[in-house]
Amino acid sequence: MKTLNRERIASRLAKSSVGIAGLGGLGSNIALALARAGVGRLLIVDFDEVEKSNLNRQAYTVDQVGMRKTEALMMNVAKANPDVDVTAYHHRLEVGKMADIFASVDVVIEALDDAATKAAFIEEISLAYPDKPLIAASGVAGIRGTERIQMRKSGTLYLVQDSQAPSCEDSVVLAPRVGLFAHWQASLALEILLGDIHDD
Amino acid sequence: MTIEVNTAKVEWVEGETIVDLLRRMNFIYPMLVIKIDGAVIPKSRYAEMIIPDGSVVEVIHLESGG
Repeated sequence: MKTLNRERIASRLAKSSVGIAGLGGLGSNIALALARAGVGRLLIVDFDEVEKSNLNRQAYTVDQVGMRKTEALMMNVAKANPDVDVTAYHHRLEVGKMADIFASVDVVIEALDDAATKAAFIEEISLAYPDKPLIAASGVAGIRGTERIQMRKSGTLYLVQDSQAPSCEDSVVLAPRVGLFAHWQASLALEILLGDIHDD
Repeated sequence: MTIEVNTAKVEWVEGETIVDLLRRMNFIYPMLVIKIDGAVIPKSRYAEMIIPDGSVVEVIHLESGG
């Protein structure tokens, strides 16, 4: 790759911002991937603390059990790439009031857990910011069906999904599979942010 | 006189609401996002919004886990 293009990509990403709603198996892995790639500003939102049972899929460590996910993830992002400007909200997104804090970011990523909250979030972000790219995921649970995962695009909504996957109440969510979804979402964010810049 | 529902051609029914369409199509999933002609429709309007002839309807089902 030509040096000029490498610099254009780095420069564009450094000026870009991504908001991530939910810092579980999706959001924690998305944040780290985007930080390593060089996205300049991340806005991360979650109300929860790290539990031991999260460690089979979420990007936290044993010594972080009990910490707020926002604080633990800020630490982990800083270790991976100290140049990223992270704004963290330890805050539960409430239906009817989810959109405001994402006003300033270029791309919004839905990385929530509960299906009803996912649906409400997609509805609120889409109505509040019809032109803002929103990347969602559905169907991360289960131990089979890697080949079923696909991306569905509708206007500015991108959905990484396995439409035949079980609910997380009926099956497990483990690091490799949720990581596929998370990295697919993160990769889509880069594609959107880099827009007109091509590989060659 | 048809509408498109998740890429399938479906007969258009005059006066049909989103709730009626979901029932007709046997979409029993509780957690949905619905778009009509590219615009997200708020859940609060499912019972009242009449689907126009020729609409492109997208029914997006969401599963828990993240």
